Amino acid sequence: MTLRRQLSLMASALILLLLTGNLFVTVTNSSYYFQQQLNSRAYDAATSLALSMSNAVADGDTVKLERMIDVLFDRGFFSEITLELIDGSQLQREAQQATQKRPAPDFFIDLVDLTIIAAQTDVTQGWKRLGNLTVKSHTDFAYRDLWNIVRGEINWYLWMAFLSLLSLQVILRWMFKPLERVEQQALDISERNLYELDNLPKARELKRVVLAMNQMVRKLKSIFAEQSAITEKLREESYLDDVTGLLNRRGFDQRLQHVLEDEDGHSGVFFLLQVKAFSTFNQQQGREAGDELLIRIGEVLRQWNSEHPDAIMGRRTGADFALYIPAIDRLQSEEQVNYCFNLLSSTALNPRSSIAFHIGAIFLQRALISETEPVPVSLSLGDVLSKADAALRQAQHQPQSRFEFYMNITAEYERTASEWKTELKKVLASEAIELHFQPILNATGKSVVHYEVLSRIHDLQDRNGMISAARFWPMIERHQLAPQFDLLVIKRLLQSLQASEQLNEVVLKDVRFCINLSAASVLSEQFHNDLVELFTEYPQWTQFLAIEVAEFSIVNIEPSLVRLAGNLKSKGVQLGVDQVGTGSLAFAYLQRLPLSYLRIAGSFNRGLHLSLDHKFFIQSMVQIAHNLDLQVFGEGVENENDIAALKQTGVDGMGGYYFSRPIDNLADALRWTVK
Amino acid sequence: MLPKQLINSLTIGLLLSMVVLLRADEQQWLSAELLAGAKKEFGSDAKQRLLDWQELYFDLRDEDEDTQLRQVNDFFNRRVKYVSDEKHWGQKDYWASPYESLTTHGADCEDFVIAKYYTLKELGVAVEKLRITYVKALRINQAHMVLTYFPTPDAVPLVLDNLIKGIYSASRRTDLEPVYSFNGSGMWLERMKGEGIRMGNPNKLDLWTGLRMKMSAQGMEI
Repeated sequence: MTLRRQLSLMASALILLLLTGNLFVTVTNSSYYFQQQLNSRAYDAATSLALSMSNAVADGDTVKLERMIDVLFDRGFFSEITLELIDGSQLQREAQQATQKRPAPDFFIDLVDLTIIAAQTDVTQGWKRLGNLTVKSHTDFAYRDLWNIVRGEINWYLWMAFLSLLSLQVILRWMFKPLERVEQQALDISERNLYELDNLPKARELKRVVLAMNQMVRKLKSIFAEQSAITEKLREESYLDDVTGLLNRRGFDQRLQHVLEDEDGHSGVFFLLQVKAFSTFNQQQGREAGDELLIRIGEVLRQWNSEHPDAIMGRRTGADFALYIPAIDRLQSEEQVNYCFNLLSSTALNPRSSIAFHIGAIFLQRALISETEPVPVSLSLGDVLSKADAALRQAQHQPQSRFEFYMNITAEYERTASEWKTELKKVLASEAIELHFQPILNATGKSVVHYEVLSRIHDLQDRNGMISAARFWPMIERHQLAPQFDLLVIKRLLQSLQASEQLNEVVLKDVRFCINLSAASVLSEQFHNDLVELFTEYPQWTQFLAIEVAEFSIVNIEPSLVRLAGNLKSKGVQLGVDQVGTGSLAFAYLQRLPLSYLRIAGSFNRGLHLSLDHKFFIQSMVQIAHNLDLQVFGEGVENENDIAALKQTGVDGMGGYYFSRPIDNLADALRWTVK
Repeated sequence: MLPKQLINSLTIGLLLSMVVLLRADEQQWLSAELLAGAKKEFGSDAKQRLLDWQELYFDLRDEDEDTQLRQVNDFFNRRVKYVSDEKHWGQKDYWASPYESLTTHGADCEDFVIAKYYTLKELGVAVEKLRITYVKALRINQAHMVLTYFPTPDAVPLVLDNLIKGIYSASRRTDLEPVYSFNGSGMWLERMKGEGIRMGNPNKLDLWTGLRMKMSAQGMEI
């Protein structure tokens, strides 16, 4: 029962109690008063009549006595007047009713007892007694008046009850409004939406509750801010260069190594950039000017980053910068290097500043490793660096700014950009993609909680070949096909889920299929609409989906992402962030977005058991996330020692090639269990 | 020797006090407090008049109604002095109880009637036979009140009056003109009295009811 109803009931009971109490007092007093009046009137009438009879009637004149009785009786107030003469004879008038209608309901007459006493007096004639006169009042008038009083009182009380209950409802509704707001606030807090109520209620108790809630919100906010600040600082100190804000050598190497070792293959261009004679510049212009130059270069590179959010860029030492940009083939990578070179020479390092710079680049590509083919030899980080360095040296043979590519021989067939476009469009039209599923296990390592959905396209040149997203994705982005492609992946997933309906609903329980969306998709209004439409087509399967975006892309897409999340939530689709640790934005986004889980970037998990600060970073992330009710998973785990270390950080689960390679069909994926 | 005398004297004393107590108990009609109060407030003469009244009561208890009527009429006519209410109580009309009339040694016609009525009722005369009658005294042209006694309901009553010492039949009292008579303890009045007490507000003009409440407070039920 709600408090409002309880209060209403209590008020009603109180009013009822007052009514009955008041009625009781009124009826008792009034009936007593009426009884007194009736009885004394009877007595007065009897006395006057007897007096008249005693003095005015001649001996034996019963006719006159009778008329005298009639005179009094016809006034209508008496129910009975009897003169009992001394010889035993009687003169009597009697009336059953005094009023035309019943004076009051029968139950009321039964309930209220009016005791009518017959007034008796002597009638004399001279000294002798003539007889005994009895007069009895009629009760009808009293009952009528009494009933009117009671009715009036009941009417009055019913109106009062109605009005007071009505106003009570209004007042309570008004008074409980702040309580409802506090309730909403508490619910929002559990949804990690922290805000303060500024409309303080008037009632003191409620005001205190609101103030206490506000204080709690402030406290939560400050706890979160403190924790985030520490972790952000940690991230900065360990992986960022304090002059330019780009990655430092350690951060860069770690990220690049992760790319190189990705079993899903990779494709991109790596290049080293060196400012010529920077130490001389430093000596001549001073250290501050040197730093300023570095900062300018950093700014130019970062500006470029907004177009290529997944590019990796860092400052290695002095005026040595390193970049890795995903590129689909040698042609595109040359374009990228060229673009970068032009950008720099038209801004920070233009010829007027008389500072020359050199770039040594290398195109890196490794095909997807498949089980059927032998593992191609992959370049180690050291190889990559020394080869790029060799190219750099070659470029430095001339003093003016220029760039040089390391010439490596690839057997791969190279498509032109337009060939790629035709091919990708063909893929989209024929929906010739394949989904692979990478299981992510829960904390106990016993059951699967997530399947990360990876997409592959068939290599149209090579019937058996598969191309991983890591390779073709730069072309997808270049031709602005990302929303279509993302939509196709989701559609294929939903189709296969529907096809597997009979397979095993029990297995599906508590499992999510995670699909990575590109930034371009999130920004596309058309994509939002298409997605909602697609979801309405497969309503029973959306609850098994999760949509995730890479942390580094959030900074550009946050408003759109919030809107998309709103659409997803109503369908039961979760929202997650992967590659956590690769972005540089403040962790406050964890609070702003309605997230369900985080996935720590693989570059942090690799070699975790050897790296105390990686472990500490993950631990802090886990703490922040758990405070916000988010789950944290690790991905890209490949080694037993790292598993143990990752478990110690308190993550909710992990996945990687150590447990399983991506599984190439849904049925096998669902059947897959931990060995 | 000494203890024996002491025991004897104690025994005698005890016996004597028992006799006194028994007698006192037998003779009790008016309460001891009432008598003590009368002595304290009005002196020993007043107390003596009350004791005489008590003695009259005990003497007449077993007599016939004629004797009772005569003796009671005689007692009050002789022992109580006529004083008008105006003079005695300082108000126009005051109905005094027998206790008040005897202790203050003064009464007017109503007070005589009340005292006689109460004494006769206490002696066992049926109240049905007694009526309090408003009359006009023709010779002195004054409002007056007498007690009438009806041996039978349809008889001509006897008149007990304070103007004339003896009791005479009403037919011989041509000096009086009857106006109205009432029965002092009718059923109706019994109940009205009860209600009046319960209400705590007796009708000030209803002198009879007021008197009954006053006497009830003095331990006399009229």
